[in-house]
Amino acid sequence: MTQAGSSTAGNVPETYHYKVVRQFAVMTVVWGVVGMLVGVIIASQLAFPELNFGIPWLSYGRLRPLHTNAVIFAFGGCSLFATSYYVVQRTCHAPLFAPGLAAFTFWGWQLVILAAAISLPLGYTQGKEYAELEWPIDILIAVVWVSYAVVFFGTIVKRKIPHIYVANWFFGAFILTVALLHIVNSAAIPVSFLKSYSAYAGVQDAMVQWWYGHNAVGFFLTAGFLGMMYYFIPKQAGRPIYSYRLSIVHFWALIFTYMWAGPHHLHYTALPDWTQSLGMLFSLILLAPSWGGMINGIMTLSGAWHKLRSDPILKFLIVSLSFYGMSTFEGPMMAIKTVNALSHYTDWTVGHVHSGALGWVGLVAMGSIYFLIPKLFGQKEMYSVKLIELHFWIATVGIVLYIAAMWIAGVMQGLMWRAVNSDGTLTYTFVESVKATFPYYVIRLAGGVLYLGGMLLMAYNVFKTIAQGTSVNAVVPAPVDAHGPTPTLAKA
Amino acid sequence: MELDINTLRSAITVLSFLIFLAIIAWAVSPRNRNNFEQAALVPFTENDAGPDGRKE
Repeated sequence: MTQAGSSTAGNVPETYHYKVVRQFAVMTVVWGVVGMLVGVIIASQLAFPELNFGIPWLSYGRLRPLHTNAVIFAFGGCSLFATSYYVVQRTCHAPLFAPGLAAFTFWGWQLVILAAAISLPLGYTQGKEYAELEWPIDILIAVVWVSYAVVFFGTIVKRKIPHIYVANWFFGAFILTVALLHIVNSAAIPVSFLKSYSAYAGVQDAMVQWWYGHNAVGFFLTAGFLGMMYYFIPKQAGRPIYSYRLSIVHFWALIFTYMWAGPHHLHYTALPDWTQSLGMLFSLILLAPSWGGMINGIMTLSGAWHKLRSDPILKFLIVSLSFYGMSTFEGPMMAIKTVNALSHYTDWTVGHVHSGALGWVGLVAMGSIYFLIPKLFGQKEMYSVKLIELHFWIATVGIVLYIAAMWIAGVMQGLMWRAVNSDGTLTYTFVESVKATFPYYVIRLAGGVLYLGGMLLMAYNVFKTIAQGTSVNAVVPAPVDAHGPTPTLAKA
Repeated sequence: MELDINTLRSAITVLSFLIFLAIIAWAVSPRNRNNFEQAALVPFTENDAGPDGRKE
């Protein structure tokens, strides 16, 4: 490929808009540290409740939604904005559509995060899990999100090559679906500036909430991050995706299936039985596309497995897929009603979520950001590749400690809660199960501290890389001919 | 058979399933093979910026 860019005015070559990518990439790291720190604090509070210090703003009930919002929407959200803006430009050979609006999405999103960080500890909440923010913030989210869609799909429309690369399909589905989920689930009747009531009532409200909640997992935490997977794994491995056709089937199977899985969050509730069974069935079906996608990503390394030994970024990306496979196997199993009877309301659920969140979402986002940072700041590679390797191992050990502790704790709690004496009375009081959980809470805390430690290493590494680099924007390649450019493989 | 909103719901479910089958057929059809192989190479159609990027 030639280095020459397409000339627009005079001889100034057109470049991609990397500024907004840089901003989101850096904030991914900042919010990662903040969100994981809050996670470590609330993990400490569960092990040692005195750490509430009797201060309402620091109580577990207020900090827990702060943690989930910070890691999902601040850390995860910024990484999704950064990677989708980068990938859509480079795979469309077109700079961002409406860069001013893209800048608005950055500042708007930071304002949402700031508003969350203030309002949640103060106790303002709609009481819906992962949708706690009050209605004025919800409106801001909707405005930012629609702008995001305009920028993303506008860039797709002005693309210079015929194909819409598969990563963009996943990013696009994530953006559209999250808009739909957020707007429907956040419908509320405001009674004052910071208080509102849901537009739905009773079991309908619960079903709308978990339709939202499960699809937030399916589209925010899965489809979006699969978009990263489909771009950054081929790039880092230096070879195209194992099967492009499988990626198409993977995409549409996820789209047609995920929407129905929500009721598994409401097993044995007032939700009609048939709805619960439907949710269970679709959750089981989800195993197939999930594993298809995992195999597609991992097999991309087929014939180049040795790269896994020497390249820590590839380790992040590939091991994230193993955790994706683990949690998408565990999820359908837990959706089976009889298994759910044991696992629900226990720490098994927390273990499951974190095997997906720390293992899949966290690792794939970190790997992608490690890929991006040097390219955005004119460097060949990160300041220290050794530190990436160290980060990888610390994080992995942390995840294993975390999820193993929560599995054991969860199954134990489930068994203790259901144990009955021959006369029908409960064998254990609730507090006995809490007491028995204590050592596992401490192990979980250790796992969380390790994971946060890895994130701090990343922050240091990113800081040093930026300090020795300068902000650069890549040149948009010149259009070749009507059939699009002839692809060449970089050294495989 | 009574035609009501539930008939429509069932019809849409069946239609969705048929569309999904059609998508699979389209994805695995040998006629599209070349097209998809081209698409898979899209991330490799240009060099990375790295140190060659334009300073801002």
